[in-house]
Amino acid sequence: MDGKRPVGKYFEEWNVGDIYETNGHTITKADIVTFAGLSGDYNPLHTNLLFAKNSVFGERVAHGFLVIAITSGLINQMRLFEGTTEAYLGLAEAKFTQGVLVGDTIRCIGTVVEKRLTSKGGGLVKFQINTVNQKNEICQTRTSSILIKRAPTANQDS
Amino acid sequence: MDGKVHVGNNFEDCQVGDEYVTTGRTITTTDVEIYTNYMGDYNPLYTDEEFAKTEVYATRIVPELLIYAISIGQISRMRLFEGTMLGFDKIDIDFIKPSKTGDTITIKGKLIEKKETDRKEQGIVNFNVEVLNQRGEILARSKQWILVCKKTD
Repeated sequence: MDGKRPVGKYFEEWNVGDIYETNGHTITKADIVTFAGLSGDYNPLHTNLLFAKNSVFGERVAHGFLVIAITSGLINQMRLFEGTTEAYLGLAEAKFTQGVLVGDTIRCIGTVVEKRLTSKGGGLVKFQINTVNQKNEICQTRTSSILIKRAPTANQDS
Repeated sequence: MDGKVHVGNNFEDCQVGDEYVTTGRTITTTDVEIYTNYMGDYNPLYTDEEFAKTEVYATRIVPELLIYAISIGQISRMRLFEGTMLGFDKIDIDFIKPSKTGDTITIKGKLIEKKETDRKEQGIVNFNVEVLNQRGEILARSKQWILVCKKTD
């Protein structure tokens, strides 16, 4: 380690088709309680056992956005973006195809689907992120666009 | 006991053009700490002030997904779809401007589309959403497609 470059990858170090896979996280009741309290979203699907039993999920389900937040944490724990993120531009087509329940273990597979320079010369990388459970069922999908730092030696015109 | 809750708007109650504005919520350092520490996202832009000072925003910023999570909570607390919201069908979000702790956010929403689904007991309502800070600056723009129950009778 020379301590001079960030741990994360520069824009030039990503290629379309690159894939990462995160570690897993087992959803707990505490995750749901924490997220309800933090966000203020006390939808009874997440917080009321009697209501949730009568719902399509049959039990309390994790907030869709809780799963997005936890998966973002799992992705950043891989250190691929550490010190090289300029901006988190956004997410799109976030779909919630299957409920995530207490006891499910989720992980993400991210694939680079686009890599281009912006009009201002910034490095934009877009990922397709699929969140799967312990049965490898896809629970959520989304795309995520990040502005990533250019490598210091890069030809800024290329 | 069947877990009955107060019933908010059904799909039929929604009209294109309906609007809401939430109350404000001030983002605190505690909010950020709970998010980074419990969601496991220690991005140095959020957690390392010495690093963040050298970056483009010159100080730590509030995690973008936390701003959105709190936005969802602010909308939820308006009780518009209490007991009638089955979940999100789809979400798009553009993060426009970062936020710092101490900012107060409010959220504006406008219903722009209603559509049927294959399931006769639910429909989809599409909202354009804007998250604003106390200066009226737009922090994020989003589209939410929400699954809402139809009336049962």
